[in-house]
Amino acid sequence: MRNIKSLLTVALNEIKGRSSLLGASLVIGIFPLLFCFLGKTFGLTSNYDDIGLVTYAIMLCCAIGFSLISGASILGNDLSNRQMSFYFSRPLSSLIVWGGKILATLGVVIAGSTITLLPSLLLFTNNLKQSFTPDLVVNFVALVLFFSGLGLVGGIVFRSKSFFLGLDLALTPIVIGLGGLIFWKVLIYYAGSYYVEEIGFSKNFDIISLAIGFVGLAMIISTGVGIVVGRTDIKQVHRALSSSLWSLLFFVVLSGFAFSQWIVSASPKDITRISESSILEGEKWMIFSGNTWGRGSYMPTFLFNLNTKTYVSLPNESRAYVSNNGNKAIWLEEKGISAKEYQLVKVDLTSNEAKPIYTKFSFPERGTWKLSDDGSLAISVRQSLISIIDLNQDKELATVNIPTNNGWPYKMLFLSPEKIRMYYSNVENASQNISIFDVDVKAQKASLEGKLSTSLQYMFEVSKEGDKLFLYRNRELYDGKTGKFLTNLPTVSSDSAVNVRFMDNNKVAFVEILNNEATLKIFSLDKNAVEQTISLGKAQGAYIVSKASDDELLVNTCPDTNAGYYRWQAVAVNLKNSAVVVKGQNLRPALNSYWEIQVNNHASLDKISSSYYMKEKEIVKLDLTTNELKTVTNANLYR
Amino acid sequence: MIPSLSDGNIIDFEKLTVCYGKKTVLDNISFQVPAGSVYALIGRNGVGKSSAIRCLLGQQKPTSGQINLFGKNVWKYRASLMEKIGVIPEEPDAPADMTAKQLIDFCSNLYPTWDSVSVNERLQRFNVPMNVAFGSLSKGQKGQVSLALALGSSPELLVLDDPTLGLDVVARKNFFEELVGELADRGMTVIITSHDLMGIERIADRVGIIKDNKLVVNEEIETLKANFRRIRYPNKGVELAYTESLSSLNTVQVKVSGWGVEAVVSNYDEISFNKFRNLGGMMDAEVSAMSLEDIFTAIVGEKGE
Repeated sequence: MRNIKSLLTVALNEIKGRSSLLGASLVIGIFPLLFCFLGKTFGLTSNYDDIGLVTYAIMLCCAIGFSLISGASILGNDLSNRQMSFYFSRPLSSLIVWGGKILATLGVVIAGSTITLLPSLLLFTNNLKQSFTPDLVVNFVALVLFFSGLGLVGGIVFRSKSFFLGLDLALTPIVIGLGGLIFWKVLIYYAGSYYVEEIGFSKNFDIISLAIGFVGLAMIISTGVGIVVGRTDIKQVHRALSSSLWSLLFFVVLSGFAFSQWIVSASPKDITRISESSILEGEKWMIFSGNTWGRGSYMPTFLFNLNTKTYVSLPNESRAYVSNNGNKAIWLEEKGISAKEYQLVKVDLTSNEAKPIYTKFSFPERGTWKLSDDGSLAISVRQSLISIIDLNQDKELATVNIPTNNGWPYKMLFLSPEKIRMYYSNVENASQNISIFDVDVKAQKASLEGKLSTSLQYMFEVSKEGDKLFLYRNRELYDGKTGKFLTNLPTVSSDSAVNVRFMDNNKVAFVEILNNEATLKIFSLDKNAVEQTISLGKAQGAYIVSKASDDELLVNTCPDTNAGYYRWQAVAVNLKNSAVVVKGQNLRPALNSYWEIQVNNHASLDKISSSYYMKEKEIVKLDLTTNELKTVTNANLYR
Repeated sequence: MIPSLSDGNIIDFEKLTVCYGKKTVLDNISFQVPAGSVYALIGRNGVGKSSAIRCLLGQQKPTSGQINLFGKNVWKYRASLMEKIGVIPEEPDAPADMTAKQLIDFCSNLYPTWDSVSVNERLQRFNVPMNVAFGSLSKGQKGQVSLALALGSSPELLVLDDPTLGLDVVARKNFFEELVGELADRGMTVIITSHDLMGIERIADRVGIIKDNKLVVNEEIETLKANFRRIRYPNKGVELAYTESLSSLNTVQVKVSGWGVEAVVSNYDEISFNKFRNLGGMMDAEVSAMSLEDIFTAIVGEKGE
């Protein structure tokens, strides 16, 4: 109790000495009103909607100014004027002297800021309530801590005339550089607000504010160490302050470095939720990514060997491109800080001990990639420039400039090892153009083969052979090489949701959903008519997955939702007798386009003997002959 | 709770050493100040008196050794010990923008035994304005405010670090008179450093003299003055032999001039002096008592300030 009284005595004494700042706050508080009034008078604003933001900005400037002024004077002045002994000659502990002065600094800043706020708050209560979100309040507190700390430290170190100042000035850019680099990686790139929520904060606020606030706190605490150790001697205070501050900041930087290393060292056992998962051809490897505890939005991706449980870790945001035969995977790894480069990394998945090989190829941007079916060739597309790389020989076979100005590569196909088809899309005069180019790898030439113009809806599918193209918006089928219109797909309504897959024999299978009813239709291009219509029942969503046999298609439908989430089910549709059999509930295909896995994932349907699904956290294998569901991966697989 | 003192010493310097970098300012200093005594710590400028006071007040950590106040290590227990200690610093250290009234209010919240009435009376007696910023007061007024604040908590120990520095003769006299009165009333223990040796002689009962970073004298003033004498005798050309005969009195300073020899001895006794007078017609030899200032000058080896 007596300590609290002493603390308050010191604090109030300091606040009294700075009462002029509080008076100034009241005057400054009129500025937001004036600003908005003048803005309205001169027609710059039509109302007082901006007053919340203006008040916040002025209050923040005021708080930063007060933090620096109070911070710089409250300890530094007393130490340099040899007045600190006045407090140390009294029955006040070092912590109370320091604590009282810090309390006064923060008290002046908070009281001053509140006074600045008052006039606007009284007149425009609602505007200010809406503007002052928790994020802004957290930012405000962080900045107050930072600038108070800066003022306190600056007030001492620039007055002490100690050689430690030289050391401080030398270490500042080093720590800022290292800290900035590490925190940029940790806080911006890898983590983010998700981490803050994950460790228990209910509010989703800016983690950069936390970092700034923490540095401010470190500076404030170091002045405490300085006062406790050095007491009345400014040089000794400076010495203790610098030692503790730099130790603290180096510890923080090292911890940040360790934390960033920990983030990128995530292994499959750290996965808490799989977001994407696929089994590669040959059933030896799977690829998956997901969230891991404590790593925020960092989502590692792993190539996981199902037999040996060994894995290859891919960096965050690196898309893996896997060949159709599942033998080869490639991705790009970021290098450099300011001038970034992306190095091509390849891995041979035929071996159980697949090791990433860093190739000699680097690119100024990630671009778009495609692997040939056998994984021997890769295409890199950077706007209109494409490179064809022989991955077996680490050799660039060709670099070709596609003669297009403003398009972006939407799809590309290996028609043969020496022929590549590129579909470029570009918007021109409120319509969308799709340009079709064939690239001759040997001749290193690209030729425009066809062009089609559509409305502004660029989603389209191309058959595996590149002979057919389906435009979703218009429900139109085109020749995949020339862009020549073939026919309209006879859908019931233009409002219906449609999913299309190309079949053999010049046929197209599509599911259509209208009024929560799904229908599978087989359209013959030769006959230009729907050959077969099979009802799939009630469904909010449906898509064709693969071909179980010549007469059987696997379709996924979503009859209903559970707590807002789609509840998918696997359905086999017999084209011979139109029988629809539900194979399993809560299943969604364990394949997706994120990794550009071409197996079973292009617009053409391939015949498969089994299919993989994600069932909650597991990956299961559906045997299409026996209809058995067998767990391939479960929560214990990675551990 | 401050423990009771078994040896009756309020202050105990134990092998105190203070260094600034490679420079040693105080070297292995030990002395005690008994309860109720007034101890004067004197020395030339820069010998480390203020460092000793800062260490005594727990404001500076000694390089080695320690100081105990009331039986407790002052570096560790400074805050609680300060309840019993009044301090008058070398330079007035109260915040310049605070008035005497604000300073009194501030201190009154910190001491359980604060006596606002006597503090106000003291300041009124010396016509110190209560609502003028401390920084705007005269040196003498600042000294009175400092003294009033130091005595306001009725301390058991008063630490005075050259309190009359920069004061004129009248202010110095007033200050020491006020202090003498307080000491007579309260029976406080006092440690004081000052260059005003006449003032110190009036109030101190013990003295410590620092020379070359070491404590060379630590005595009661009366004993010191009884031991030190100035002896003058005519110059008869064989003064060295006579001087040697004074060695039993422990000669600390000898000055030879045209008219004769002046020696300062630190171990004076009448029998030895009379033997000396009987040597070869030294009947003209005179002996005189010395002031603290004379003794200090003789010990530090050069003319004092």
